[in-house]
Amino acid sequence: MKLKDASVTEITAWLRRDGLGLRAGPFWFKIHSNTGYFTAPFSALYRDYEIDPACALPDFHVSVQRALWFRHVLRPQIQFRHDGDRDFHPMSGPEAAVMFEWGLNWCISTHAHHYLILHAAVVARGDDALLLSAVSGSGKSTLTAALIHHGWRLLSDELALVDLTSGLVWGLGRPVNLKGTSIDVIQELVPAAEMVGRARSRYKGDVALMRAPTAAIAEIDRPAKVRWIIQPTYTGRTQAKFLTVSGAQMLLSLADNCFNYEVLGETGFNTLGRLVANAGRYQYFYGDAGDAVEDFAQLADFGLEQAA
Amino acid sequence: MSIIAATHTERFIKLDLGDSVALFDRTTGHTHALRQDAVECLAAIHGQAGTLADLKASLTHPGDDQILALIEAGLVLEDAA
Repeated sequence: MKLKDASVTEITAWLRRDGLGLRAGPFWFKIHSNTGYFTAPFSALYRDYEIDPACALPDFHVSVQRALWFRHVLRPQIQFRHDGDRDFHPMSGPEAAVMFEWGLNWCISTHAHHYLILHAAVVARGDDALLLSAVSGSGKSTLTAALIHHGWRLLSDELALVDLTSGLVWGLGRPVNLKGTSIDVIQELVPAAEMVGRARSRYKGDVALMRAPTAAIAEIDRPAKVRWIIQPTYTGRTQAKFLTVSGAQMLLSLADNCFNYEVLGETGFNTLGRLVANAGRYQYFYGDAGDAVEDFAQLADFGLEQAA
Repeated sequence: MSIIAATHTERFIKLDLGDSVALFDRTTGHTHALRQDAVECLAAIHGQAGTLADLKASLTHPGDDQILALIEAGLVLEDAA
């Protein structure tokens, strides 16, 4: 059953009472909520996802709840909880959807150690994946949002889940987190992109979530092999270029961007080493997301010589 | 003896990535990156044709100082066989 098959009344009742099970990639989340700040954007963003109102064995129990009533009267606030614990500062009501996304990222990155988890976006063409690894503010999510509307399918915007045995990357297919000017950049580049939950965040400025394409969600159980690893840097200049990165240097850089590399120890090294050894490795400097879409297509189709 | 033999010890795992080499230290859990010329330099040191300064100049990561210390202590360049 998909979320879109349920009525608003049913969804609201499940969230308020026994919780609603929702699957994102390999994980089941049992979700509770008592606030319309969450229910409305959640229903829009996750309408194509598999649900199970009973969901007897979820991986994570999470909730997005109103703060205490007197606090809520002064200024609506919401609280994210995992297993009943409040591990995060409360945020304003309109930030409920982004807080939920950040909370799910935290749950996965701190618990799912049967994967090597990288802070990276992953998109794919068929079974060939492109992994975008970079620090916040480099344009990773902007590029992801652009690419998944131009021939690439979304596996994940924030977390790359690398299988410790096969080395394949599994997706989550969750909404793309956009911040600041990237929201308008994507709306201009992809007018059909569906933005939900736009809000002013105390922590990150303007934020919005872009709904994952329906086709990507339908293929979310199809893992991919990483063929290209790219570290993008937004320069503001128009001339884009690729620079090749040595394997060991890329391995170190990716290790720094892993959530659980040190937890996994030797297994993490071997898994990441195999990933790096089998992929093209590049830094990419760019000033326009549209140019990046063309350059990455050239890279995938013809190799580095034909790209920027 | 070469870096390949040297790193096939119980302590280190060596991963040859073609253009460079990554070393994983099982004891500390640290990962080190060496350019290919560092590998050649290591072999040269063993043959008395290079210096530790040459090696230090070829290391690519601040954490590689630890590798240098290990080399100076003779831990990396021990016989594996």
